Amino acid sequence: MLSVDAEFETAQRTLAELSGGDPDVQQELAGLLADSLQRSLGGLVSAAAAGARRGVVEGAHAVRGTALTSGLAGIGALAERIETGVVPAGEVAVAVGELSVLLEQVIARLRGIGGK
Amino acid sequence: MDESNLPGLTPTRAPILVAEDDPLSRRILLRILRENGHPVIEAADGNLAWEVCRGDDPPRIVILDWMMPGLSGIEVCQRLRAQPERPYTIVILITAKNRHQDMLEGFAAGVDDFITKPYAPDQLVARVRAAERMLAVAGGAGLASALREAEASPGGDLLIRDGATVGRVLFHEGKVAWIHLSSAPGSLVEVLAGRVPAEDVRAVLAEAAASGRNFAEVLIDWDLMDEADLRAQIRDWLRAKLKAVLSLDPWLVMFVPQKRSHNGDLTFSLSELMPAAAPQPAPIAPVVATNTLIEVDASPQVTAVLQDAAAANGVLAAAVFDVVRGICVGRRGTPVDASLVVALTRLPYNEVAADRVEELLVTRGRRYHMLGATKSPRYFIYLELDRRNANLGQARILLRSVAERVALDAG
Repeated sequence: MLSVDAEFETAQRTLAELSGGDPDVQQELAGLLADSLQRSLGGLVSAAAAGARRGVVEGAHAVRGTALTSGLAGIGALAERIETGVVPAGEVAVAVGELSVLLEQVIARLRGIGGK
Repeated sequence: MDESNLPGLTPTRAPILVAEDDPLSRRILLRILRENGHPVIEAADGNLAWEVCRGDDPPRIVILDWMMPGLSGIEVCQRLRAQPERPYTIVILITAKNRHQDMLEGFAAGVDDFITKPYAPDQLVARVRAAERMLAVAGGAGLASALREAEASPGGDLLIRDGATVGRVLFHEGKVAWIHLSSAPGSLVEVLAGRVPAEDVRAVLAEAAASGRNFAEVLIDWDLMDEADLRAQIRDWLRAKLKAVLSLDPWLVMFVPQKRSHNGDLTFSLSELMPAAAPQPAPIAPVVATNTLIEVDASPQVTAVLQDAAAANGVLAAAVFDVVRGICVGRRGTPVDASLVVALTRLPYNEVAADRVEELLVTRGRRYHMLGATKSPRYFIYLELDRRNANLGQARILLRSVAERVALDAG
C-alpha cells in the first residue's frame, strides 16, 4: 500500500529542487501540479466509469507523466500498471478507485502549499 | 571538460520550441531552459507546435511531448522529416513512455533524442547542449567538408543557401576563382578600392570587354597595379568573403559542375583563403556530420578484430564505442553516424525501462544498424550492414564474437 505521507514528502522535495529553493515558484508549481493531477484524474475516472479503454490509457498516461515529473514515483508506478494493462481489464475500475483516493489526498495537501 | 571550448563547435543560442500540453511539465521545462540562457518558444499542443515549425524562421531544436492534443509529438516529428528542403531540426522527445519498443518507434519517426520522465534538470540541459553541438557540427564541418570536395573536382560552383542569402564559391581546377555572397555583393571596384581609382577600374573593365582580354592583363599593362599586388588584394578580399560564407547556417549545400575559363594566376587554394579560426575540413568526410564522439586509434588487437568484422559479408562498418568517455575506440569500414550510435546506446542504458536489452537492431533505409554491449568493461559494438547482402543470424553471431574478443582484449 502506498504511503500518502511518503509520496507527498518526495513531491515536496522535488518541487523544492525544481523551484531552485524559491518559495514563490514552489507554491506556483504545487498549484500547477494539483491542477494537472485533478484534470488527469477527472479524465481517468470518467473513462474508467464508461469502460473506455483508450480513455483509461490516456488518462493513466497523463497521471503518470505528471506524477513522475513531480517525484510522485509510487503514484506514477500505479498509473503505469493501469496504462500498460498490467492491471487486468476487470480490475481497472478498482485500481482507478484506489489511485483516485490517493491522488485526492495528495491534491488536498498540494492545495495547502499552492494556496488554492 | 568545458564543452564550449570544443574546436569548431560554437553553441548556438537560437530559440528552442517546447511543446507540452501539461502546464506543470511545460512550466518546469521553460524554467530549466531559461535559467540556462535558452530563449524558448512554448506551445500547448501539437498543432501549435507544427505552426511554429512550419513558419519562416523555424526553431532548430524542438522538445516535444509524445502525447499531446491535436498532433502528437511523433506526428510533428514525421511532418518535419517530410520536409527535407527545410533546415534540419533536432527533435528531442520527452515522454513517460520508457519501453524499448516506444523508443524504437520514436527513432523510426525521425526523433534524434529521448528524455524519459522523470528527468533531472541537468540531464535536460546536457541533452540540449549536445543538440546544439550537433547543429554546429552539421553546419560548420559539413560546409567545410563540402568545400573540400568541391576543391577536389575539376571545376564548378558550390552553392550555399541560408534563408534568403545565397553564397557561391567558384572553383577552377582545384582552386577558388571567385566568391559571391548575395548579402554582401562586391565588385572589382570594391576589391581594388584604395589602390586603383574607381574610374580607372571601370575603364579597365570596358577595355577588357571590348578587346576580349582578361581584366588583370589590362590592369597590369596599364601599370595601374603589379601582378603580386593584384593577387594579394584579391586574396584578402576573398578571404573575407569565405569567412562570411563559413558563418552561414546552411539549409542547402549543392555542388554544380561547371567549366569556365579563369586566369590561373588569380585563383587560390582553399587553404590560402581559410580563416584560421574557421572549422577545418575533416580528414574523412562523414556520412552525416553529427559526430559527438572523438575517434581515437584502436589498439592493434581491436583493429584486427574490427578488420575481420568489416570484411564479413554485408558488413559496411564495424566500430567500438566507449560512450562513458565519449570516444570511438576504433572503426573499420565506412564512416558511421555516431549520433545514431549514441542515441541507440541510451536504450540499453535506460534504467527505468522494464525490458532492457543487450542487443539492438534498427533498420533505416537500406541499412541495418546493430548494437551490442561487452560485459565488462562496458563498450558498445556497432555493426552497419547492407540489407541486400546481410544475413541477420550470421551478423548477430559476428556481433557477439566481436564483443567477446574486444572484452578479452580490454581485460
